[in-house]
Amino acid sequence: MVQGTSTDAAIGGTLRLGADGGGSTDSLNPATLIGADHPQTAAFSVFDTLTEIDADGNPQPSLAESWEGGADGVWAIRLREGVEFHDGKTLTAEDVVWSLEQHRREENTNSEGRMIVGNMSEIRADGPNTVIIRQEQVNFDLPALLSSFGLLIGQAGNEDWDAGIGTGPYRKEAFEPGVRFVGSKFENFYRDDQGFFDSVESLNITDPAARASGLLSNALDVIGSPDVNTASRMNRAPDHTLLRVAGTQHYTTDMRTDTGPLTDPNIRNAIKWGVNRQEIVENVLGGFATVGNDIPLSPNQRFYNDQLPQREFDPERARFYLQQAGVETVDLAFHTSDGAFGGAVDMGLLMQQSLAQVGINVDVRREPADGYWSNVWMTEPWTASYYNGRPTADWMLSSQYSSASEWDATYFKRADFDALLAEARAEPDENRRQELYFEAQRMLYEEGGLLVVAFVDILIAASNRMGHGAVGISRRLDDARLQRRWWFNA
Amino acid sequence: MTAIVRMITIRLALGLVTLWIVSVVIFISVEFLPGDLAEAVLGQSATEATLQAYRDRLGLERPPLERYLVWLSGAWRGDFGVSLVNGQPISDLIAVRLGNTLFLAAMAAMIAIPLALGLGILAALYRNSWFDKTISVSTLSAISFPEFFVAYILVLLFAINVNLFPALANIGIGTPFGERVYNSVLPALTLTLVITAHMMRMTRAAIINLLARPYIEMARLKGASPSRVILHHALPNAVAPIVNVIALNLGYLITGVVIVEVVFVYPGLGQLLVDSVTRRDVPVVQAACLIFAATFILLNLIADVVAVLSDPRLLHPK
Repeated sequence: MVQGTSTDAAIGGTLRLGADGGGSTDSLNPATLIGADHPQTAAFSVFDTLTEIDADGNPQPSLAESWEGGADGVWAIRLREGVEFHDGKTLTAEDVVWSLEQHRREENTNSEGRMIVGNMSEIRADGPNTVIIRQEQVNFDLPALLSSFGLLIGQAGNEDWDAGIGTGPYRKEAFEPGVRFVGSKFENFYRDDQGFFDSVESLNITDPAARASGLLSNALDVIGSPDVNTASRMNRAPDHTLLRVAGTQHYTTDMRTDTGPLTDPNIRNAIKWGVNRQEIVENVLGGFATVGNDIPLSPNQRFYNDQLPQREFDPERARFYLQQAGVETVDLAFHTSDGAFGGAVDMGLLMQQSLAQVGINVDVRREPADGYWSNVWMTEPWTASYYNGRPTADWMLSSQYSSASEWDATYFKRADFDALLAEARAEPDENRRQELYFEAQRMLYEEGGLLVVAFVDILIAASNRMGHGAVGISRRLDDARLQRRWWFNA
Repeated sequence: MTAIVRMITIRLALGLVTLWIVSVVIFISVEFLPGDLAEAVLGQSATEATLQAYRDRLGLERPPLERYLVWLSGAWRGDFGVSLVNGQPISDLIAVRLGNTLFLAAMAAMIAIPLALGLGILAALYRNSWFDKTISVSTLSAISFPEFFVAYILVLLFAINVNLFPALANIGIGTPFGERVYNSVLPALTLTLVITAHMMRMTRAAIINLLARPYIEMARLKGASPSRVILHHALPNAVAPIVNVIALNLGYLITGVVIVEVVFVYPGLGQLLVDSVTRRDVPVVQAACLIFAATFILLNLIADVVAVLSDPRLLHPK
């Protein structure tokens, strides 16, 4: 694999991609599209978003050509001209308005787009190529938010998303949910720096060993998420390379701050200093991860607070916090499951070992994967979990840890934290914004219930024939846009 | 002949009762599993409000008995309803997968059955020779390994070391027949290795069992060659037990191959069933299980009919 620029790209060829996470129930409708690799790569082959995120975390034009406004919460999004749908119709502002508005409908409760559109008090077309968006609360992150897979742009009035009439680089030839997606190059695709293949074929492959054998036998050109236990051997295969990118997805343990034995911040801090994260990264995650520091932003993201000391296994400090709490030892139950993430049970056992050395006796409770998210997580005082990263600091912090969030398993709910985020969101001055985000992260670090064990690397294994540019960090498989951004070397 | 028709009719009627019992058992089992469809689909992003909305929309809150009766009245009319998750008609969803499963089963059966019968007859003919022992040891070894292990070994040998056949059975709706066969070679071989031993041992045992009979002695004494004794005198009388074992293995080929499907990414019915169980998509689970149950009932019926035709005495048990 060679990292280069798209000028090295040889146009053509058939990309054969092996991804996982698909099911017979998948749909390309952004209101029900799930965040897994296989359906995502299919969706981003045929559809576009208004913006996309580059490898540095900044929003870049996609269907939107430019945007302005923001200070008063009113944005003008200018669309690229002459963008064509696969059926020949030209994209207009009406299509964008319709696509965004569909997330307001009653039945679309599950859409990630709903949360974003929920903050828009008005979405209207201003001429054929401009969309005006008025926000309820000012949020300078709007251009980044518009890159969400929940906000794919379809054709006004066309409810049949699975027909795949989009503006993307590939026409849908076949989409068999949970089995495969086949696309062929759309000749009138609006940009020439993406969509290099003549055709793409994405197979849904659940078994990691099957993905690896498919790649090694040259039945596939690239696979997502090779098994961490054997991934490093991929480099020994003469014609294949393992690509490793520090990602934003993180594995955590969530401690409830509102009720139960973990309401005392001293006990929580004792645990945070008593977990041996490095050991977990090496033994459970195959070394393909970076230790976390109890804030949900990864070190390569904008506004990451790098002033906070890295937490590592420090028995002295852990015992100090226990003393502060006025106890010698404490007995706790940690609820975990392989349904939380692969290796979560092993992680629990390693935590049990290291915490025992500081006087915290952990009872590791292994829960069934079925129903874990509904019956255990957010219910029990201390649980294992994972989170997908978000492209911006505000998106991550407020969607997860603000009082309004319905998914905060630590029940942080602090008005001063919310106020910091609200102020930062509407703050035009970058330096001041950084100060505010740093402060918000410090609060989570010192007082929160979140223990970020590690940020997991995004792993891609590919044939050496493939070339690519800088690889995206917000989602696996180059932000699920590998089939648009990669190419075969000439 | 009327006796056979009567037997088939009774058996089919009993089969319907069996299917009904299976549907009740499946429905109750899925009810017992923790979590429901709404929780399975919404996963980590579920909130009280979204769960409630989802359940209301699909009627998951209605009492189990009511939901079962609604399903049963539909199924009775041949309407299996729509998948709860994506609203696709279940018959469409299942038809494609069932076709794929039957294709793979047929391919494996066409290799395995002649192979097993041939080897079994030869083993009986040359019993206790080196040939017999080699055949027994090798087929029994193949059956002793777990399916996925056999599958990975075949992938390593025939896809990675020597790139003869594809490691992934990439089969779509429009895949042409020849390509379909080529792409399915490794999964079919895996299944062949898994089922051959059983059928081959049964053939051998059934034939050897008959060789001690007086009429075989008679055939030998009048000077018939060993192969004639076995093919013309012993084999016709061994049909009943052999056909039963073949039916059992065919049933397995259709219902029990989910692991092989996963390893080779073969889009069969087994994967669909597992998918649907994890998502608690009850109507799909019901339909798939009924197909599996019906498969066993029909195959056993066919086996019995063949057995009766080969040996009419079986119609009149003492």
